[in-house]
This record gives sequence, C-alpha cells and structure tokens, in this order.
Amino acid sequence: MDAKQGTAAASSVGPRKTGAGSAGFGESSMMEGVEHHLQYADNASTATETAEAAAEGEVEEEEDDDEEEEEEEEESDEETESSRSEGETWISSFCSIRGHEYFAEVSEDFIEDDFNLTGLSSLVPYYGEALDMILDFETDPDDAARLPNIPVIEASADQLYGLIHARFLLTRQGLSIMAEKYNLTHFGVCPRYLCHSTHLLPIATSDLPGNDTVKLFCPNCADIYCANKENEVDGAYFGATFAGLFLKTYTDIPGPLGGLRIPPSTLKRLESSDEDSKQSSSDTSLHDPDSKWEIYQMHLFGFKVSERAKSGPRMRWLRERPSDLSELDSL
Amino acid sequence: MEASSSDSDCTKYWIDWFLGAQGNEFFCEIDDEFLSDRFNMTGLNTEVVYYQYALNLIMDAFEYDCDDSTREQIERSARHLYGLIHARYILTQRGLQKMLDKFKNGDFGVCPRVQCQKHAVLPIGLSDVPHSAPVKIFCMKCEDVYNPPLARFATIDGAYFGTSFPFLLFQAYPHLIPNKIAPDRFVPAMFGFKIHEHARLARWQNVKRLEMTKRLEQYEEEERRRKRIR
Repeated sequence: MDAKQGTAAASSVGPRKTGAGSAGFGESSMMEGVEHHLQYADNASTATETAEAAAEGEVEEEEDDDEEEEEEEEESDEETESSRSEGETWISSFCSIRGHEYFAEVSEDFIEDDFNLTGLSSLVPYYGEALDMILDFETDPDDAARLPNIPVIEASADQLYGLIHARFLLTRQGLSIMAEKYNLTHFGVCPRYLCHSTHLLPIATSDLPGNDTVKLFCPNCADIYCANKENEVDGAYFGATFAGLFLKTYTDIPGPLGGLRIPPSTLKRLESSDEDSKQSSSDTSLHDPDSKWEIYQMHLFGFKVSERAKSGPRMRWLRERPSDLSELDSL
Repeated sequence: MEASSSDSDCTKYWIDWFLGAQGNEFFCEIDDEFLSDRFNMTGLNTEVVYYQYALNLIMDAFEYDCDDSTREQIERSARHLYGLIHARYILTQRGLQKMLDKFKNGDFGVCPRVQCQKHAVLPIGLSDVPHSAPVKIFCMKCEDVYNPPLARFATIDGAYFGTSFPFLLFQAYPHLIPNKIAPDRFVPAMFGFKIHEHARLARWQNVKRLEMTKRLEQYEEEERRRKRIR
C-alpha cells in the first residue's frame, strides 16, 4: 500500500511540471487534468507558502467538483510532505539536498540519449524504474504493484544519476556548469595554508562505484584532500577524469607549475637582475614576480630544524617545485 | 558583581569555564604552580591591560568591585593572558605531556590530506606575536600547515600556541614521529593516462626525494665513522 501511494505521488509530478511551462513528458496519459493543473501551478508559483497554495487549490477544486481532481489533491498533499515544491524536477530536488552541493544538474536531453547511458543498465538495479524516476516519468499503476519499495528505487535512481553525472561532466555543457560552480567556490577551498584559498575540484580515485568517496583536488598543490563528512558521496559520481579535463579545458587556472609559464629566457633575466636581493630566499621562491611558491619551513625558536635531526624535515619534496622549467627537462 | 556570581554558578574555577567554552578545545589546563611563578609571566604585563586583575581572575582570586564594562574588559584580558601564558606553558615538560595526551586523544583533529590517512595534527601559530594570525594545524606526516576545518578556530590567536611547539614536542618524543615512507604523490589522470605536467613534476619530486634519502644515508655514515674514531 505504502509503495503504491508513493509511486502515485512521484508520478503526479509529470503533469504539474507541464503546467509550470517547462519541457514536459507524460502529457498523453494525464490529459484530463492538464487544464486544471495549469491554473494550479500558477497559483502555486505566486503563493509564498506551499500550504497556502494547497488551500487555494482546494477552493478551486470545490468549484470544479470533480472526484478525480480531489484524488489529485490528496496526492499533492503527500507530495508536500516529501518536501518537493511545485514545478521542481527530480533532478533539481536531488541537487538541492543537503550534502549534494557538488552535483551539477544534468540536462534532460543528455539523459534521454540512450547512447550516453550505454552499459549503465548492468551497474544499476531497477535501471528502467530509476531512469523513469529521474526523468519524472510516471510509472504505470499496474507496474507499481509488483515493484519493490520506493526507497529501493530511490537509491537506484541516486546511483544512476551519479553515474550519468560522471559522464555528463565530461561534456562541454557539463564542464561549463562545473566552471560556474568552481567560480562560486561550491567545492570549497584548499585547506593547505600556503595555497591561500585556492578553489578545489571534485575528483575520484576510482571510476567504479562503491570503491571510494569523493575527494577534492587542489590545482595549486596538486594534492587531494578529504571532503566534508556531509558531502561524502561515491567518488564514481564525479569520476577520476573530470578534474584533469577541467584543468585542460580552462587553462587560465594556474597548474602546479603555474608560476613557471613564462619562457625561460625571461626567467634568466629576472634571475640576474634580482640576484643580490633574492639570493637568501631563492630556495623557497620561484623566480616569478607574480606567484611566489612557498613551502612551510619548520622552525624551533626561530631556528630552522635541520635535516640531520631525527625530527627534521623529510617531506619537503612533496611541496617542492623546480625553480626553472629546464630542471624538469633535464630528467 | 552580577557577572561574577553567574560565573561561579556555572563552574567553580575560571580555567574550567574557559576550557569548556566552545572554540577553546585546543587549550590545555595550566598548572597553578606555573601560574603562581612570577618568572613565567615576564613581559606579559606590558602586553595585557588590567594585567593584575586578569591574572587574579584566572587564579580565582578576583575581588575587585567594578562596573560591567570594566569587568568585561578584564574578562577579555584574562582570556588573552591565559592564551599567552599557555604558549609558554606548553613548551615546559608538563605542558608538553598534557598536549601529548590531547594529541593522542585526537583533540586537535586530523590531517585533511588523503594520503596522510587521517593522521592526528597539532595546533601551531604562524607568529609568536599576538594578533597576527589565527591558529593553524600542523601535520607531522606531510609536514605542512593547514587551516582548521571548523570556523570557530578562526578566532583563536595562533600566538596562544606559538611557532615552536610541534617541533619541540617531536624533539622531546621522537618515537611519535610518523613513518614517512608514504606512497608517491597523487597524480591526476584522464581516462587512465597521467597528465603530463603533473607526472613530470612527480618525477622531479621523486628525484628530490631520492637525493634527500641519499643525503640522510650519508649523514648516518658520517655519524658512524665519528663514533668509530671516538
């Protein structure tokens, strides 16, 4: 019983969305209610409170005095309970859940193209139902009876969306959406102090689901950091390739050798002119006036801790950068 | 007068109240013995206003009748003074021991770097001069400094911990130095292929790492030879 109601609630989203004016599906099967829902959706969008909207809807329904509509009203009540506001698609509600801040909204055109979903049916249980849920198609009530609980399909839909999301991120559209999110610091900033709040990018250590949670990549120190507890979703939902492709696409984001983009000839000139003043600090700074590469230096009462000490520095290589690009070539 | 009575309602001792306040999780309790030794406070009276009253407040001997705004000022001074004394105290043997317990307890949090595998961190200041930078966390596994994850630590002055504390701790307890035979650095890949720029840097860093290992072996060799001569 529970399952049946839930499916009905999910299925009623389709026509409502149509009413809100966005590209819609499933109109043919629910044609009777469309005209009414057009009004309904308008009311909902103008009303501030969902409850108010529901009340207004009720008034109208009384005027219509149609049994079928009343049924719809019940369903919409259920819907408000599951905190889905009017006109919102499954995708937008999924992306607005707390902890899903990293996700971009995958365009429906991308999901509708079967080619983009190649091979996913074998990875996700209840693939068809999950796909219907993502696209807000309503399920056939006869089918709903033999389907498992909504939470099971919901979980499948989450996983399927994640896997589609990982593929979508590699498209031009996906990259541009993520670029906007990157600029808005949706993925946070690098915790490393000397990275001075460089924006992070989501990255995975594995492309297969269930292996590892999502990590955050800092383009500046080229290292990966743990995400917040609440943002810890499967890494496969972002993929291992995305961060690299993103940095290859948006080359204005400085990479780990970002300070070394200037040609070696200019480097030499800078070196010779600043030799006297820079001699003391030459081991920590790049010879680039714009970006200075810094490494944390251990100090005990103002004195550097020697490498000869047992507690001396052993990890400087991790943060070291060549002072000259030619050093890399000489390897 | 009212404020002092409400204070005593909450807890008996000012230090207990201070340590229990949110954001003060990094601090440890300073011994009365250390607090009562005037020598340990050298120079602090110029740094803190209402120095004597603040010190009295910390030591629960505050008996000065004053209006609320002065009282608040003294309260603020006491917090500042406690932090400055704390920076000195954690460099003493007992202070190190107390911070060591907190470190083992994981009170300071863990390193955000994935390859440090949640190694415990220590609080560190970027300057010993007060009001220059908030407290940071230091991971001995990657030897780097990070911003604490919680926003409430952004209001704690780094000078309350000092720049030397973690290194003195590891000098005093060398067995705590983590194993640094960590895997190579992370190299991002696209469709399984490593990105050239990053892979090149990783190779260069590996060479640097090998050079360092060789240097360390050389030092050991020198040390052995010196012992033989002796």
